[in-house]
Amino acid sequence: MGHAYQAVGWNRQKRLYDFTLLGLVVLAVSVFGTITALRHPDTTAETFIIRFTSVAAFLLLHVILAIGPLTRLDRRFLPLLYNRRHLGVTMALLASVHGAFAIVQFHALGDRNPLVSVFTAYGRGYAAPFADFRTISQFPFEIFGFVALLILLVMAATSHDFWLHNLGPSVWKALHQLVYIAYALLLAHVLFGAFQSERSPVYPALLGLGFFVVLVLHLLAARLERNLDRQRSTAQADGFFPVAQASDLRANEGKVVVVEGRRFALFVQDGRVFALSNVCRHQGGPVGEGRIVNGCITCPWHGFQYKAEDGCSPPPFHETLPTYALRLVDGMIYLSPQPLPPGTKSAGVLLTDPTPAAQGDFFIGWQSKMAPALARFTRTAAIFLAVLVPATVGGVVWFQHPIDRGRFEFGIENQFEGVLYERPIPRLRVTMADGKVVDHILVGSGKFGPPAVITGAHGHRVRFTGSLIVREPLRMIELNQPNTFAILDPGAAPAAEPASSPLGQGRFIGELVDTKCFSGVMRPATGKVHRGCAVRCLSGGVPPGLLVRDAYGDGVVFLLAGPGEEPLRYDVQLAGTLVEADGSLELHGDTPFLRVTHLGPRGSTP
Amino acid sequence: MLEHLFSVLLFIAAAYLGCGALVAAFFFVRWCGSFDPSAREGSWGFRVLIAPGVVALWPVILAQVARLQRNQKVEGEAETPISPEALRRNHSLAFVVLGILAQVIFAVVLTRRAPRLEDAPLVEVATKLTLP
Repeated sequence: MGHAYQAVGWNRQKRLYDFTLLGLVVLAVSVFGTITALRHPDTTAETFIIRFTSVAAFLLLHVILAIGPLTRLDRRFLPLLYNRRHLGVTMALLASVHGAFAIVQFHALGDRNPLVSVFTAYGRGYAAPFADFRTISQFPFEIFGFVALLILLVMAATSHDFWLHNLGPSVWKALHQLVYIAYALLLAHVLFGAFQSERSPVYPALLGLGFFVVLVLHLLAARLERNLDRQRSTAQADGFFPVAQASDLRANEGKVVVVEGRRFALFVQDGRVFALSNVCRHQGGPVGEGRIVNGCITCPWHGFQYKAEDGCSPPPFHETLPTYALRLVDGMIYLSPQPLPPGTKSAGVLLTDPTPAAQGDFFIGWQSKMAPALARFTRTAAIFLAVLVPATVGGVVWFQHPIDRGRFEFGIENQFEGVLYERPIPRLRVTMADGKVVDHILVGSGKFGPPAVITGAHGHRVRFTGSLIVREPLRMIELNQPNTFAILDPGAAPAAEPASSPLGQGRFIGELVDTKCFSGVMRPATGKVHRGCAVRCLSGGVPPGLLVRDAYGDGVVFLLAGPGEEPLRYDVQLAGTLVEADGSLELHGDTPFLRVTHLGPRGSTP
Repeated sequence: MLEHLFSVLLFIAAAYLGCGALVAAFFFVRWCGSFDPSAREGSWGFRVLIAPGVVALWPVILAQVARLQRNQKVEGEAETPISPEALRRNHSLAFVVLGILAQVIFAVVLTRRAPRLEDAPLVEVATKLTLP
């Protein structure tokens, strides 16, 4: 390098590139938003952001991974490679938003540090598959995404040429090859996470197709490269190897030749042939696939330039490519693979016959204009992406599992008054305007159960300010302003606990849920993707519930309580999984309670 | 146990990034241009853009500074070109491994999916409840 660094070395091509990228993101968010509003109107803003950014980032990663092999298979894709780092940074930013929102949504405002909770909320899942392989789907998916995000962030943070120069091209390139590991981790993140909740066959089909395309493109490109490296030639007595017929060369166009598994670039300039290393000093691009532009050999990847006669970059740059000695005998060009001293001027080899002109279009981003045919091809590629991206994100959201219902009056504070019962689960018995008496389960802010201020208020009339959470027939109040809590009849004898209606005993199989999220605070509030949040809520004291399938195919929640006066003791890490519970069912008002004698994983009952 | 382990790891990560912030402050005030002439006149936008990398890779920066103080060439300026042959080998290997590994994970995870509520039996007693 030889000029002052800038944040971005803008040129027309980069602006067009970024404008197209921005347009694709806007198009994708519009389609995702429209279909979400039409098909899943109960989706919360946080869920929308988490889902859109994950889908967009993962799709973008597939595009990024496809560009490299596409350029090897067809050079007309090179304009897409020129500014690929902006695609990568955009993808990393989208992934960061996804990660940040997911950590805050599912792990913050609880009884543990959210970053610790991400890894440990259901930490037993790490060991479960080793004990019983059939439980492999219980493995925590968050850790895959977290590590992948770290890799993507380090890659994005080091995408500037400053890092390429100061880490050294080989270290930098190795660092950025970690993208393949990040891709594998993200596949696992999706398979162990979202795919455990979403059961539409469209998702495995889409993921499989994306993976198949990326895999096949890379393997095809690898085969192409391997075939090129397999070219063999025999050394002459003087150490020169025959590499090409002079008649095969074209003016101002490079030709890649292979000697003993190493690649070299031949260029014809002003009727003379020159040989240089094929490895660009910038990112290792194939110099021999470039052209001579403005009198300099130009790498097709990012346009780094070198003079043919000595391999040096034009001032103010100071990169140097090794150059090699050539001979021309009977129309055959011979090359010595021993590099000349750096910067050695060479006269090249004078060709006797005129060389034909270069064929095909060549464009590098800093040029002002693209040839019409190449511009048409690039536009077609952009249009293809403009169809692919919205179609994919639209398909993903269209086939999404229905979002949980419920309503949380977040930020709306109302005054509630009624009789508070602490047992078996803290609740407020409220007489509604129509005279009906309805129990409201009490919870605290964030991922916590009711605050300590309610202790000792059992059977008393109380008043406080809070926010309503409703998923009929379950009603809850978030007691988010404990300082407003007041006992209205402190001297009176506590009211007797209202009678409950027994419904019988039995064993029930269902999902262990936290009732606050299930009632409408979170959507989704069930399944593996919500499991960490459910563990945090239950660990913080939110009343647990057993979500069972009722005869209507919908779910109904039994609030879980201990068998007597004792609070229920259970394993919170079972949250978000199917469990079995033994006990007696009773109805308190309209709310079913299960007095649990046993709660454990399915099949745990002796 | 697991929570303790991750709490310690989180503390170490926070300490690492804290050191990174400190090194970044020194880097931008004193060292930025000394080991890379192109950075000396770099724009503010450039400095903002590389700041996260400096925080994340501060040991590399310190190593470069130490080399400079011993008047050694830093790696970026040394003749250490990329080895495309090694890259191509790694690339082919990565995709062969990924191709096999991903198919195994696909097959295992999709056939061993966690049971959901839809897989649970219907609860007859629930029909006795007063539901809206």
